[in-house]
Amino acid sequence: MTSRRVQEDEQALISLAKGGDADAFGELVWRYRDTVYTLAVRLVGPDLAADVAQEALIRAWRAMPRFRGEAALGTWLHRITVNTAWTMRKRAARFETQQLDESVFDGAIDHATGPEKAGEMIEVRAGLRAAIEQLSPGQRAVLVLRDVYGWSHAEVARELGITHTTAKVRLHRARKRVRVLLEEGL
Amino acid sequence: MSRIICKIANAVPDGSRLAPLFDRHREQCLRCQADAVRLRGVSRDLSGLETEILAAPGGLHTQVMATLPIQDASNPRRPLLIRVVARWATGIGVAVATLAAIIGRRSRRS
Repeated sequence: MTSRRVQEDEQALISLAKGGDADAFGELVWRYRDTVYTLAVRLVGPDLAADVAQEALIRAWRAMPRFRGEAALGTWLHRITVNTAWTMRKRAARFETQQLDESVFDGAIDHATGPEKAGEMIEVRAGLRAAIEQLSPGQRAVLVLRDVYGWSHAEVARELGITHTTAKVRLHRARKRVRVLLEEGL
Repeated sequence: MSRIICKIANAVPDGSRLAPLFDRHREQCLRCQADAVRLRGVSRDLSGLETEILAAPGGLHTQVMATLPIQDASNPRRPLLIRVVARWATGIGVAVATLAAIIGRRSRRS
């Protein structure tokens, strides 16, 4: 299927889901479940990620009639996931110091790199993941959204309910902490 | 002295109001430049994580579909907005109470 067909297909599914078609929404959940779950893992760790992903997708269903298509569905779902993770962060705080289970990433699907480059990246990525896990929830959220997902400072601040300046300061501190952790070999 | 300036300069995030004050120092200081390069490297490595997608647990789809509530067009940001408003309201409440206490104490003295 070409990307245009997929896009048209997705538009049709969105229209149906907005009208209350659970089957159409189910297809969208099937398409986006991995990306929503991945973001949740990065924000709250693997133990709570499934709960956050589930809650985010349920919130998305409830809010579906509000979706105006100004952003891509994936972006909208990411925003809801961030909101969900952030509002569930008190529970998430319990996992703050927990190390990320490496086995979670064993089945990671990398769509952008070939197998020859993948080997080189494994070590770097494992280090980064471990370093991210050692950040406070606030720093982790800002770093993941800005540096991993490329959100703007304004988007990060809006979605986390913090000021622009706070977002910048947290990002700066988070980057420095990650760098120190990587240099110290964690 | 230079090390102290480096530490202060490195503590200031890019794009902040204080950042321009350290521009000249950063342009001349090799230590700060090396630090900036390392930070950019971390940022670049982190951006590579975006392509790494984890497989969601097998039961996620089923669980979501089994617990779909009635569609009510509720704002998905509502819980966060409530939290932000509550935080601000608490802050304002504390400030007003403190002010009232100070004014009350002063009026009792006079």
